[in-house]
Amino acid sequence: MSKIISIHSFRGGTGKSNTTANVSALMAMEGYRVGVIDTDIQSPGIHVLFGMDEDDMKHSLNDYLWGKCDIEETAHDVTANLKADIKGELFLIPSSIKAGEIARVLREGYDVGLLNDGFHELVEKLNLDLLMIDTHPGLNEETLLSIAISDALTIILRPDQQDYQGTGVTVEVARKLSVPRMVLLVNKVPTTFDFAEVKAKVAETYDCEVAAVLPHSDEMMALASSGIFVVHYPDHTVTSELKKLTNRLLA
Amino acid sequence: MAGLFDRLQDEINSREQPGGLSPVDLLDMPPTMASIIKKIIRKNGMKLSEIAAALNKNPEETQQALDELVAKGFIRRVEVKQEYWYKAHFGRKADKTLNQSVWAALDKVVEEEQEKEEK
Repeated sequence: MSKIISIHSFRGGTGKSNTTANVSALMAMEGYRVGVIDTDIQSPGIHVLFGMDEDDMKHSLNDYLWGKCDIEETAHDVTANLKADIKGELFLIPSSIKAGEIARVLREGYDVGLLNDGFHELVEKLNLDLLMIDTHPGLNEETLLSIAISDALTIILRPDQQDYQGTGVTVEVARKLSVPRMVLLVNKVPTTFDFAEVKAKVAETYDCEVAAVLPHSDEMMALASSGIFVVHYPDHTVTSELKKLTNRLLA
Repeated sequence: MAGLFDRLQDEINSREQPGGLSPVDLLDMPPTMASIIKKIIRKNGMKLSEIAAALNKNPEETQQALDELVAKGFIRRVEVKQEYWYKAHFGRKADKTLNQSVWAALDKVVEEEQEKEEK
């Protein structure tokens, strides 16, 4: 049975797009058909991780929302872009990076129902096992819709006071929206911290499972979203932790 | 393009209904109402019998609740292959109100982008 999984955080810069891209890659490596949709229409970026630029985008989510095409026409097969041994398939539904198109969405808005229909149609038409939704940070209509339709939600936070407070709000909202499954991912943790203690404290604070705790990584910073970390560094601690998160989401 | 026409017709039909749901509405709606709508959103449409079963209520009670939600404009009834389904009726995401000079500046960027593409 297909699953829709949202990756979210209250604050920006927590690592949503990197996490979404890497977890999706890990799932595709396991043999799953995975779709990744960038719903961060205001500040799209995950396409960069998959080696796409605006010239590679035949159609974007924006085109679908404006009625120019069907949703499946916005799906780009990026399996080969991973340059790894992939048993499954990976499709990316990007949002447009053109300033004019972002401005148009801001100015005119769009039909939220169409976005909802799009999620479900993607799963059906591409025969997806998993649809991963990369979201804009904070609480807005798109993120609330994503949370409302998701079978599972990952909330990412850093060990930072602003993140802690914002995560509390997000967890409360997710519970109100009755998301069936929710896990936390603590990211960019200084290596001087006690990871077991971080995990236990965060789980207790939010009364929510912590699927993984990722250390701050210079290798991740140096890669700078130019590729998929788990492909470049298959034996890294960050990759092992991302595999833990992936396994929890697939369970 | 058949799918596109269906969607456009759907949108025309839905605009004849008042209101329209925003995902934000789910946060402060009465629990029973929110529960029905959340189930419908998750499945992207459900029949009366499915909703009644999910709520563990009889079809008459369920129909009454659904009629109320349709009247409020939160859901709509659509006919699919001679059966009635209930779907969430989302309103349009509001456009942003910005200072005119900001739009003018963005218009200039759009123009420059279009000129670049034409070359």
